[in-house]
Amino acid sequence: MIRKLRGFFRELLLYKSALAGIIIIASLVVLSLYAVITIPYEEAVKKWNSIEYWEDLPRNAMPSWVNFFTRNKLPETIILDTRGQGENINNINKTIVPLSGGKYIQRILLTFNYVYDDFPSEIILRIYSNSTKQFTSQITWVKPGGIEYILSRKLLRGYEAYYVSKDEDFLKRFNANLISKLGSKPSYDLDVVIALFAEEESSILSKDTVKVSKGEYKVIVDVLIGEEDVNKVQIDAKLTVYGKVYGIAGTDHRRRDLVLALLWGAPIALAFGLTASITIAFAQMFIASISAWYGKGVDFSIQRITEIFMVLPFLPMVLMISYFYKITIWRLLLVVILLSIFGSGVKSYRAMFLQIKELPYIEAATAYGASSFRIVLRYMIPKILPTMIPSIVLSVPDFVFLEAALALLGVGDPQAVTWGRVLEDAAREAALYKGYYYWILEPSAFLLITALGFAMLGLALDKIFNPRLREM
Amino acid sequence: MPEPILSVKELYLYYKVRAGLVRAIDGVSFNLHNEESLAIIGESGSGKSSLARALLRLLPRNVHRFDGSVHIDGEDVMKLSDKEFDSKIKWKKISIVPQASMNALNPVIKIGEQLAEPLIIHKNMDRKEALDKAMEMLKFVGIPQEFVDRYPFELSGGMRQRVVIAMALITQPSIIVLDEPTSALDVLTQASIMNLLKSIKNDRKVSYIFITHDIALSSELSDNVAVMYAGQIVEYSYADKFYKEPQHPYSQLLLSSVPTLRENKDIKFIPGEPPSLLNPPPGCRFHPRCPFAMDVCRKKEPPTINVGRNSYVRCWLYAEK
Amino acid sequence: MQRNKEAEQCNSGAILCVRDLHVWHPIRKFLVVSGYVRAVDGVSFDLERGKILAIVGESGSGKTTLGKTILRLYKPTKGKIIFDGKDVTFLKGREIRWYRREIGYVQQDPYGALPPFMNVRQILEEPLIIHGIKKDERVRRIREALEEVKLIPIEDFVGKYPHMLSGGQQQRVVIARALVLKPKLIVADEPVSMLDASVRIEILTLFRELQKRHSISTIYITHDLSTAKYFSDSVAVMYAGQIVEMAQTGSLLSKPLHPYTQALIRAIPDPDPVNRFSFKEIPPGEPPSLLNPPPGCRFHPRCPFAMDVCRKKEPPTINVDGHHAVKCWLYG
Repeated sequence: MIRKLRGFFRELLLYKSALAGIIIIASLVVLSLYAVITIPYEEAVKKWNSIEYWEDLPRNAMPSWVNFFTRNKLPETIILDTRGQGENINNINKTIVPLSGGKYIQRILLTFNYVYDDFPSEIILRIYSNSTKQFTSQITWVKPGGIEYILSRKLLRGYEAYYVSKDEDFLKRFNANLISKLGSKPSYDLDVVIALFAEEESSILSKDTVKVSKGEYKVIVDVLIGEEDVNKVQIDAKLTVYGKVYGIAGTDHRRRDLVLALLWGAPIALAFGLTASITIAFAQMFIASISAWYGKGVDFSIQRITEIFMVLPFLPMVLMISYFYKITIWRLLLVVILLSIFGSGVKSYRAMFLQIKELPYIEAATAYGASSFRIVLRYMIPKILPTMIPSIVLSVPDFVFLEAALALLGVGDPQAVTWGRVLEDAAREAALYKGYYYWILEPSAFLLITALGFAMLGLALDKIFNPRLREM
Repeated sequence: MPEPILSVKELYLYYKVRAGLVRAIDGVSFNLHNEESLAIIGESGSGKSSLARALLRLLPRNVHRFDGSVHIDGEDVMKLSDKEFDSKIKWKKISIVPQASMNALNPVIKIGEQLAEPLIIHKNMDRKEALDKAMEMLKFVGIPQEFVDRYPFELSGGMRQRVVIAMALITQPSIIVLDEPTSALDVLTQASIMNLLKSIKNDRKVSYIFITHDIALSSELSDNVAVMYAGQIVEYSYADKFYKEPQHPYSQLLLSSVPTLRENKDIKFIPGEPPSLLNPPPGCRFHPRCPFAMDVCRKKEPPTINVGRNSYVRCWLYAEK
Repeated sequence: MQRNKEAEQCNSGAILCVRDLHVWHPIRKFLVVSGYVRAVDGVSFDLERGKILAIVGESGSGKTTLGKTILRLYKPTKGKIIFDGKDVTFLKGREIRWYRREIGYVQQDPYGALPPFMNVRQILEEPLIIHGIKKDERVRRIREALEEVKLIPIEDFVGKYPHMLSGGQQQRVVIARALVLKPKLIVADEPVSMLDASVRIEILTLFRELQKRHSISTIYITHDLSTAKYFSDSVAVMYAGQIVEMAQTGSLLSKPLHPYTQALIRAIPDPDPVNRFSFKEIPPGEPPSLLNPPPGCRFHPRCPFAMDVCRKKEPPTINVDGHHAVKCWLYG
């Protein structure tokens, strides 16, 4: 038996397409195992659907390896956190500045070096206090070269998130300042990020010529505290200068690292595709065997049922079901399977079984007393199994694509972590219009490669199994 | 002795299959004279069908070697190109009734049309004239003329066989190759077809190459007999001698293994199986099954030895020491 | 002279007694029956224990249908099949299981008769497992069967799959499988016609030896009357669904009574070089359609001796001296 398998593999590997297919599928399996082992399913779903987990990632960031190919280096995210979670602890400085009148200023100085050619996407400053009292704070921004701006004054109670890059007020002030400094208005709508990072000279006036000011930046957070609180109150700040690139795969509109979805999409796609493919093939084959062997009334009823199912519109029915019932991805799988069991496969397997039924060895088995059950199971099905294998392999990508297509149509599990979901998000967010090509290309590439792998392997298997069995 | 109408010398046909090289025809020589019928007897795998088809240049795929000389009416047709062969020889000097020929009829074309086709293709006749000749021919082979408008499925097996024989005959070739012409037919139908073939030979003066595995049947239509084994002719003899005194051990065993209806004899069987043409045994190919095998038989291929007027054997038993 | 075998009682020494058997296949057009193909149309015969009966006929004579009906692969339409004193005509399902153990079947196509995905051991084990034979006994019987058909050394063959065997070896496996349940009756339907000429006699001889050794009653179905001569005790000739003549083999061949039998014998050649000079006298025409057989004697359209009565009334089966029966008005 083992020798047969070895011989079979040797023959299979003669086809380069089979080899390529096997490599692709093996890689997907490895990827899936890695995903499942490192991040268990519930955890993955939880993470994917959480907001806080992705707090520090930029929105819609491209993959960081893009920087290899561009002259203008896109920025990575810079995080400075006084709670020690940031990068350079050396650039974080906390001091207490005494003022007159028993007041003090708790001053947090955050320094960072900005060397990128492009502007950050977002800036958020988060200030934490461990007291329920309200304090006033002032945030100052210092550009390289010493230009200082007081960004804002904020009331702090417990926690305050300052969306610097959305500060319209500051923008107005900056624009006014610019006009007085340079004599004219910029020809485009400036945003805060550009204001805070651009070289303040004539180049800033045109979108084409605006330049990033590279060098050392400082952010000063001053919080006014009374004497009584000086030693009790602790103020912390986290400055996040969001970049435009992140990670291997980039991020989506909810700041989620696409790697999680791409990784976890693999086991789900494989599980979905293989389960659907194998279950449906075997169910259809079994139904066809009963239909062919028992003939007459049984055959008649089964064939009519099959025809009814074949005529029913698959997609609208799945859509209908998803509108009425909550669909998790596994329930979707069940629905797909149930709707497909009485499909066209029943007819083609039945045709094969009808041929097999007339073979002499089946007749011989009846003559020596084999029961119908035994004949179907032990004599007819083994003859048909080899033909099933290539068609099972070839239909796996059909189901993988089906899941993705359904997700794109809005059917399916909104919480699922699949390639189809990623595509759906991207489509809803008009990714192509906005130029986020990576967001569409990455899941599509995975889908295509999966399909390619199974198709190549399936076609090679077809070549091996079918010529021999054609003389059924 | 007049010139033979067909003279084959050292014909070889090897072709490639996945498992190796098939030596279907491995050095075959024989002559066929006018109005003579030569029976070529062999089991499956002996190469007899390949020989039949090779005479009409119907070659398998992946031919590795096809050479030798085949003289028809004095001309070596092996030297002709495929096109020349098709236009000058095929169906003009020699035609074939192929194996399982009843199934070789096109199921969607009427009998009359199919019968007329060889005339239209090979003799450039116009359709009306060809159809007329076709109806004549149907009558000649014993099929009612109304059948000219029928389809093959409307005819019985025996009648379809008659049509195919008519197709081989209609262009009036001088040589007809019959490859198992009655293999799928019942006994009575077989006998009537053999009657037909005999009367055609008498009336039209054709020569036959009659290929069959059925030794008893071969005696119905043989003036001479050639026995093929593993791609070679191991015995060639004239009918009166062959059926009474076969020379080659294989021929002897073959004849003694035929159950005869009228004679009462002990039947013997030949041990073993026919050899594969992929890997024939060394030396004499029959030696593994031969009751008289000697040492030399295992090592060297026996030469062709003349054992009388118009008969030869390939067997070491007849070699002079 | 006795007439009408149909009315005869079953001979107690006979293991198989078939009386007035009819097998008609209905022709259905959309659930409506428009006619019947009368494959077997009134067949009666006895098979004595331990003997071989050859059933000879051309294609369409009904011989294969008869064989398969005796094996109960088809359901008879009318008549009786009595095996070993028990009526098995209309049994089915569980009731017939014991019968399946007593009969063996050897088919025409040796490769098709073997499941390609089972090896020799599994193939031979199947009938034993089905009938509940225990493991030890199974192993013993498989060994015995392989030895009997001379597929030795056994170890060389038990693991092989059908496509690894030659035609002759495959047919031996088929025979072994038929023997493994130690049947009382074997139906062999053209068992050697798909084998090479040189292998045929070997297999038939083997079969005859086994049959004699174990006294297995055999029905040997063939179109080849000359092999029937060597491998049967009696012969029944079938034409258009009926037995037209039946006798002990020697008698039938030396003194054929029915015109069809005579034509058959004339038509079969022996290897004799004088054959090429003579034409054989063959009845013209073809066997009749089984949908609409001709009235009276079915052979009359082709018979050189056809009389008026032949065209109108079906001839009875007439017993001419002891064991030679013929269905022909010439003898009535």
